Amino acid sequence: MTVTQQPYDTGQPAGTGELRISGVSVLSAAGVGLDALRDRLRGPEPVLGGDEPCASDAADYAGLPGRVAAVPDFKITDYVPRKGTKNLDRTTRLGLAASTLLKRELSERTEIPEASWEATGIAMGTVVGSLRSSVELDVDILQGQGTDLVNPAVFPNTTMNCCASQIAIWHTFRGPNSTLANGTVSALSALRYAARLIRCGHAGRMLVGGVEELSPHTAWGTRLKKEVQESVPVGEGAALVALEPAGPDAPPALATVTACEVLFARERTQAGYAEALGRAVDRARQAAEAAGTGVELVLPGTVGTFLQGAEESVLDRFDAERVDVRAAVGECGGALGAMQLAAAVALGRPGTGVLITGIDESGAVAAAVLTIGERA
Amino acid sequence: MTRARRVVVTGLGCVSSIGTGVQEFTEGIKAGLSGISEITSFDSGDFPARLAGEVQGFDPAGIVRNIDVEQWGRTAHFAAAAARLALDDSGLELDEESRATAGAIIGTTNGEAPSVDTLTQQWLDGGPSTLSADLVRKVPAGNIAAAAAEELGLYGETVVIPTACSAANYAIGSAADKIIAGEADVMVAGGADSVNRFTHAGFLSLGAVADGVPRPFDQDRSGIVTAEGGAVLVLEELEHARARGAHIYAELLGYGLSCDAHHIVHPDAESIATCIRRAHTNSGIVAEDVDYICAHGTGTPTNDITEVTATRLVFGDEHPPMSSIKSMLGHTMGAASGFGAIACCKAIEDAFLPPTINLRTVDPAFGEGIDFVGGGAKAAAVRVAQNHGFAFGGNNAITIFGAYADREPVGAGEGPR
Repeated sequence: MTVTQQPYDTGQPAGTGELRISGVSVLSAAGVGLDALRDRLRGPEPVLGGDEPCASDAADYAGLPGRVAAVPDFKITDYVPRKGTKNLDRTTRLGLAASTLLKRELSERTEIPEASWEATGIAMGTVVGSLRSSVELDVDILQGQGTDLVNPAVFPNTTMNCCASQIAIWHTFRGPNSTLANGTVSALSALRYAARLIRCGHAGRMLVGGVEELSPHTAWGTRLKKEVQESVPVGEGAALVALEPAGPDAPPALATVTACEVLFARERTQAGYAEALGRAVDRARQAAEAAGTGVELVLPGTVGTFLQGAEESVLDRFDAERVDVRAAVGECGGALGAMQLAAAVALGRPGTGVLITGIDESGAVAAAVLTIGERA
Repeated sequence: MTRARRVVVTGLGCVSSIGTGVQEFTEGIKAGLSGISEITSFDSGDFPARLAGEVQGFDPAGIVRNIDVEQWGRTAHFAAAAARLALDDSGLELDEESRATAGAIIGTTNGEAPSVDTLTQQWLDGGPSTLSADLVRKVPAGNIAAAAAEELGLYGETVVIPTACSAANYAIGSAADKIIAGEADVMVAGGADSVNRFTHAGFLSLGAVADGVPRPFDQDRSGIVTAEGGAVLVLEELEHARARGAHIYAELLGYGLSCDAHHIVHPDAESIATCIRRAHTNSGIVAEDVDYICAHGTGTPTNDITEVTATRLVFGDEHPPMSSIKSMLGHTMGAASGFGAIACCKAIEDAFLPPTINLRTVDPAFGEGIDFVGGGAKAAAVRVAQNHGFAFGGNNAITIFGAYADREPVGAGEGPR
């Protein structure tokens, strides 16, 4: 049998070219869409909380310090047909909804051939996937005999790549399907990973972002760790951006990714976190300067957490407006960086730079600069 | 077109059920040892299958030098210990400049699942307010790479890629891309996972667990045996490695990814074949160059027939030898393709084919002419080795390793010769 090599067609040439954000979708405690997010970010002191995603969880939230804030009135059947949704966990539902919105938005603006959609990949950020799915499976084991109570259809929900994989299945995205875990900087890690895949010729368009579900498990975990102030509600959500190489056929850009740096702290102390973020921010700033982009807006990632001081010591050097995205949407773990990306597009002034920063307690830090496009 | 920057493997480290460190591990592979034993990490009395590939007596404190083991979970321990062994094996002495760009990229399936098992018990016993905050802190998956980076003193990009059972190949591929792109000269990459109750039960509920030892490619194969460990490679830019006179195990020629976009647990042969072709193209090789395939080879009826169908689509009747080290280790989940990568590097260096143990009768459905290396390890020149990793969700990732000599590479990268 003669074996012929298939050319690896990513739809785009490899190279070091510019990467653009051509679309954004977001679901958060502020609601669905960029307008809802912008209104919350620009509105008066946000009042979040009181919304629990599921009435049957009420007993498990009893006694929880602080408030929680779910995506209001979220139903996956508002986004995809009911068939096949029954066993999807909430993390997967939120991510699937975000991907559906993003595909719809891009398709409305630009004619995108089916083959291009089929080559599309995913880079989804998450802290640990659907923690609830793992715990509930475990409860079924402990309360049953062997596996008699275990539903095999929900076992895949315990794997952290479930959300990204289900998005691929629902939308037939056959490009590189990836999931990135780096705590609260997961989505910025996903952006860096996806950019590298494109530049090294492994992918064309990538849908990049993060997702986090609200459950009693994540809410209690967040409160018991006491790393986020109790005044910050525990939220949830999903946001995705479409990342594509610049080119004659590319859709108009909402923003250009001018820099995205992910580094690690020498030590997990305030000084260590600050030193690492300082290195990331310096690199991002150099890239912005080289691109002629002036940073006019900063979206810090640690306000309201025990890492705020370390981040502030780095951001002191920027004379720019600051907006706290976490205050607007609540603590949302692996989705935070994606909310920051969406907020940059929602708030940034055309032609200017938005600096996004984040620190995770693990030692991972990230700094990105988006240059906002004329049509954002 | 030849790549300006080439990636070589200069350090191997692992903690496995058949040996700790690359030497013990390789001896175990060559001897065809089985790492399968009765489960001790949780009470498996209620389950019909009670075997796993556990690393008995794993003591991370005996291997790591810098991290406080109390602060990290078992999976992070596997990653940090394997990373330490790999860096020591490489002989690299990192200066501050290297540390600033070197990072750890680690794959996993279940992350710190044993910690989740314990937290679930606490929740049932005392309610949510009684959960241990220290245990909660161990759960985020990113910690697994963070522990490795902290252990080695790496300050560059560090991240976990939790793409399930192909995750280590994703990690190795992305770390290599960092070096090719000039972002780093040194990276550590691999995978780690721990045996735990809910993964064991979950695979049982799918009917995917073997009724005894794993028998990949056997006509009577009945499933996987869940397993654990950590497997990490030191990847280094070629000139960086040459300048310090490093021992070079092999060259990482390239890798490929594909996504089935078809079904969450059933694999797809066409998509796997696409992944193989992408890996070949990225590596600058053609199918005829491949001398050995380190199979995903889980030993489930479905995986093995799908995998052989896929390799037949690419290799036809000229099929290279293909074996499954999961026959010895069990299915180490996110670490599996990391162990496969180590096996490939050693197969190239020591000129042998790793065996498929427990193989009595090859499934006739695979057709004629494939050597599954069922009769024990055997001597063979291996210039190019292809390392498979497939996963739930159809996340396929394949890495290709080639013999390194002080000459033109086996493949040239970026397009067929």
